[in-house]
Amino acid sequence: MSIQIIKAGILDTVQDRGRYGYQHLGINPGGEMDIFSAQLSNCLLGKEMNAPVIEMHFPAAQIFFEEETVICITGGDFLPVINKNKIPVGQPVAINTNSILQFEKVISGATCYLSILQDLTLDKWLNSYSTNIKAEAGGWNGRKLKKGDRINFKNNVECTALLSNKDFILLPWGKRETEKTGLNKIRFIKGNEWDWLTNDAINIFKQNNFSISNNSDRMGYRLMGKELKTKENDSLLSSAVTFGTIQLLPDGQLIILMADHQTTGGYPRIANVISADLSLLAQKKPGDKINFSEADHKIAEQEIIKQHNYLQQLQTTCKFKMEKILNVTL
Amino acid sequence: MNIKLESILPLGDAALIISWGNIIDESINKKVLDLFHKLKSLSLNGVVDIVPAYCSLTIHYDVFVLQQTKEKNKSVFENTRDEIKKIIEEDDEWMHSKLSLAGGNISQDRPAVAGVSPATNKEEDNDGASLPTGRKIKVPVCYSEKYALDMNEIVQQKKISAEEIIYLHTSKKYRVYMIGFLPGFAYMGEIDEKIAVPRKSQPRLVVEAGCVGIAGKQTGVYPLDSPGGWQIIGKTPLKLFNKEKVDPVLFKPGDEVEFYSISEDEYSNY
Repeated sequence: MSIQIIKAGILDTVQDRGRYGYQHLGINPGGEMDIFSAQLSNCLLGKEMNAPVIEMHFPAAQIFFEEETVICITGGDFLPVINKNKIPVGQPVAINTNSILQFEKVISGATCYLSILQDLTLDKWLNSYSTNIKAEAGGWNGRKLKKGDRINFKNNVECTALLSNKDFILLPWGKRETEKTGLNKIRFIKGNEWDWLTNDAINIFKQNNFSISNNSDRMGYRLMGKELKTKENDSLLSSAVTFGTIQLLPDGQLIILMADHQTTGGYPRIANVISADLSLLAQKKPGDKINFSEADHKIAEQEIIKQHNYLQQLQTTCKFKMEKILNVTL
Repeated sequence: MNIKLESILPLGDAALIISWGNIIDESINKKVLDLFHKLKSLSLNGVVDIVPAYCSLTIHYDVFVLQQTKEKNKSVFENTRDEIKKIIEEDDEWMHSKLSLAGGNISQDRPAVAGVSPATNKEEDNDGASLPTGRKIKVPVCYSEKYALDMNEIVQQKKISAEEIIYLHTSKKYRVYMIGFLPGFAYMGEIDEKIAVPRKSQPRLVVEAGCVGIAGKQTGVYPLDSPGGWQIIGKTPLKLFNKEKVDPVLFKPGDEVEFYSISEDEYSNY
């Protein structure tokens, strides 16, 4: 049994935490843009947090479920509906056979995640299910999902009793409320070439707003703002960059490297977004404004550890609840 | 040889960069690769990626894993940095014992790398990092007009004939300093000053896999179709990237690469 893509979205790909251990060969990790939300969707289903999920941007795919299962949608709210009835984001939903999941409009965010209780039959390449479109490898045939794609389930999960003939049922648990404060504030720690910036440039970087340009994708977010100047025009030899590296381009504008970043780069790395704020950043779309505030390195570490601990506990609790409600062992 | 470590700085909160300056220098690059191989062989817990570049080595790590074993009063970064420092200090002693690692050879009719992997039963050794350094790889290139998209530009810019460009490009052995940009894209150097030209001011939207290019004193081959700004002087029929292979990438940092000229016929029949 399977799910079938009846209408493709603009960029629906299979992703997991990323492909690590191959950056020295120029093979980038890729993986989810909003790692926290992706892992959250798995944890709410009681699945292993790094299991592959379907990442979607808007317009997102229309998906036909040939088999009953339990799903969870997290991240951006694209107004998901099952057979035209609204379902919540951040809460597991049991969905019946022959149902259609679609997404009507963007309420918030830039990317959403669909986790499915059953494991899907996908391609593992170099230890990861993440889709590397350039290398045409991993995920689903190394490409974005297309109309007509049929992804098989590896196993069956019985939810007939739970659904009792309804199109869908909301399961009685979900994510905690997120804090609503500081939603445009992205925290950073200084980068290798921070000292290249003039004092003026440092002030601009710390105090001004920057807006996300249309020229942004899974590789990087280009920012538009006041031009930043450097003291000298040194040239830099290529060396490693990472998810969240903020590079200064020759025209004085910034780019933040995102999930599909190259392994190395040659532009000055003035700062890096802290890991804990990458989730917030990944949900920004062209036109959104952000501002930067400096974070202590220790705080940055503590914040990401806190996120991880939260997800781990959530995963354990939800696994227990899921096994109970479905009367199975996952 | 006394090469001074310049700094160990954070790259965000989940990586650190060990740096020996900002120059292209073979002895510094050797130092980078020596440490790369040493750290790989140690299989450090919590380290997810080690990326060598011209004169730096970057270690990507998992903060969550490393916080469990760190000293209490230190951050994960400080703790990891100090551990790495210790390993670097032991480096000189270790350098002598590893000289025997050099060697290995690949001939042109056997460009695939999978076959030369040393027999091993350790799983992490299958990622290509364990390959011997300094392998010699010969790369056939067709420099004919059909493939040498930017040859005329270089001829005009450098006031030099195409034959001379081909001669100079094929008469040197190049070191693979690092891999980056694309899967298997090798940054090789250094080419003769007489053929060194800057990148194109307008990058091409698509450079085909196999295209051989020049950028400054570097030369490289595109392993995949990709946008790119290097000046294209020829094309190789070799497959530099093959996702089906356990070890999908031909070139490795530290390899020695030599180009040789082939005709259009040889190219099509390769």
